[in-house]
Amino acid sequence: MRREARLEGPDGEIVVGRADGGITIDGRRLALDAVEAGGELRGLRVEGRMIPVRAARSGDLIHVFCDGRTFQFRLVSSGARRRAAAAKFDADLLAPMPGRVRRLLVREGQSVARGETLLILEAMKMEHEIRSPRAGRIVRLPVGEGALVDAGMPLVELA
Amino acid sequence: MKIRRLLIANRGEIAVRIARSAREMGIETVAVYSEADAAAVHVRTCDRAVSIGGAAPSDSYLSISRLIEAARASRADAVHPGYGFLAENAAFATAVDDAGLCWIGPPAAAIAAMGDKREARARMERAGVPVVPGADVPSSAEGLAAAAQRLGYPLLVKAAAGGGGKGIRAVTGAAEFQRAIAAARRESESAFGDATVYLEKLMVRPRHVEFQIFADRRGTTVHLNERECSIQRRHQKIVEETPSPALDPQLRARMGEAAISAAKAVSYVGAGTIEFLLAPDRRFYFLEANTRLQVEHPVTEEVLGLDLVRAQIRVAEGRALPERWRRLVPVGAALECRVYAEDPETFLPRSGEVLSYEEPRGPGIRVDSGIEGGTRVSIDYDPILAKVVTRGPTREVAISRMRRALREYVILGVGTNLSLLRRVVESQEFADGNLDTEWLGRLAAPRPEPVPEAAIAAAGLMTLNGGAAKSAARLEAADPWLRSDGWRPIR
Repeated sequence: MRREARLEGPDGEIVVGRADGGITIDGRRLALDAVEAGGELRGLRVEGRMIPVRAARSGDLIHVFCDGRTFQFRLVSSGARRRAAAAKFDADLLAPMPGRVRRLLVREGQSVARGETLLILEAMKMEHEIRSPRAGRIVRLPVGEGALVDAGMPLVELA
Repeated sequence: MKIRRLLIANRGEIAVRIARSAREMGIETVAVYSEADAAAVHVRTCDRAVSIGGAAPSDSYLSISRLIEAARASRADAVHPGYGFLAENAAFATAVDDAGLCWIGPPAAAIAAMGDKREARARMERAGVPVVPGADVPSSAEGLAAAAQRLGYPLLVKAAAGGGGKGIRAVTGAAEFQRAIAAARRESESAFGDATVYLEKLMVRPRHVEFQIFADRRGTTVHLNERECSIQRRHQKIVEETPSPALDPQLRARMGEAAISAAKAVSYVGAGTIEFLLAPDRRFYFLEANTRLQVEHPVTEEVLGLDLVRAQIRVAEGRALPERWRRLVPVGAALECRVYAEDPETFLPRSGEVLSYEEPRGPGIRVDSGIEGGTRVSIDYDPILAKVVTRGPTREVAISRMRRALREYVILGVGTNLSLLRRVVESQEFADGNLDTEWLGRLAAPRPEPVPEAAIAAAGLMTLNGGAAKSAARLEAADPWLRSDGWRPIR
């Protein structure tokens, strides 16, 4: 079991750690009491106040429902690796959604203008155009027409 | 005839919705499912289920031959198409007829007449129903420029076979014209198998107000009042309500009459919807007709105390509409919010597995859903997950119930638009009822709110305990009487 973990949340990175009778958040101790039902977290009691909470984890992602809102956290170790792997790709050229590559409109080695449509993603019968964030040359097209992509996957490497 | 076994040619929440009414009527239900949907809720809501092919819609829910084969194999005597997929496909209605099955919907000719949006416009004009100014797409560049000149920008390029907001592109100037036409054609080809598009003037700040119509085979056509569906993203509705805050009894009567004329112009039978744009000057224009049960039909059901699916089945059996349907008086107000698997700001689809799930409950709340904990939401299908419907004696009560319901709704594991829906129904402008189809685009960006410590703590517990929320912080609970924090069980 981990003693400490780094999480990337909506407000940036946080370090959480184990503590007697609670948890530490960025080194600060928060006394709390977990309430469970059916093996699931249902609430946290913090300073006498019961806060309804639900949480679920799949892989590196932790999904939390708290007081009517939903939050997503990512365990950073792997998130950092992913970012490093994607570093040479423009953020605008990562798949913004899971989908299928419907059309590739450019070839490797081709020069493109800023704003030019490079490929078309399709999901749930909607089309989404991926346009070039700047002028440049297509170095690599890691996905082919018809390929399924996950959100965050690099689509075009631009030099 | 009496329908005994009904095949539901759809999936998700609408398949579940239809199955419920059919079962209440003592009709056996047959679900169909693609490979991706073997574990889906709708399959288990029906008495029988038939596998019809691969995950891609063209291999399953859009395959007329496989659906007819499934109906034959399961010895169904009727087919309900739901909405989307083949619901407005005249060839499917004809195939169902030819197979000797009862089609729960309007005659194929009425579907075809309304389904070609260009032909529908022409028919409506002949019937004296006002239509939005528009034009066919000319083949030459000069023709295109002339049409644009005549109608004026902004324009919409729309799929002739369209519906559900698909195959539509807005054009604000000549530079985007060709690209918009190409994109609308591709999307239309993919969604409807028909790449024909046409042009329509984009009205400025209209409301979207539609009328539910219902007709039996004996010549009775009634309207069941309006639904306002002005809150839209990407030309798709996300919040609907009845009555519309914009209508008074006189305008309602005039629009209702026009809706009935529109239905009669195509010899309509069954449930349908006539959509209008309502301009700020209170003029209204026929937009299109939906020859099927509408996604937002529950709000009409809630204020009128009706079951429209039951009525569809009765009309298909050849029965007359009840006499009292001519004098129905709505009670109170009802709202619907569509919960989509999509990013609340970019509207891009999201997929994944539903890890934790709980629907809102309580007085005045109805949830029509097609998911549960464990459901895999795939990118192959429409992103609608559920519809939250609330009603109350007044619009204010219905809104306050919706605010509560959306706060209670737990869907973890798949991104949803719940936070956007909450911002809509919690806004003052929505409460004031000053809406139009561009309103959502003007809604202020979400105020950044800090993440509550409890949410961070919960994420921490999940991480530090390797996935389960177990015990790290379950401190002194072993003997509640020994607790140090002052909490004691109540006896």
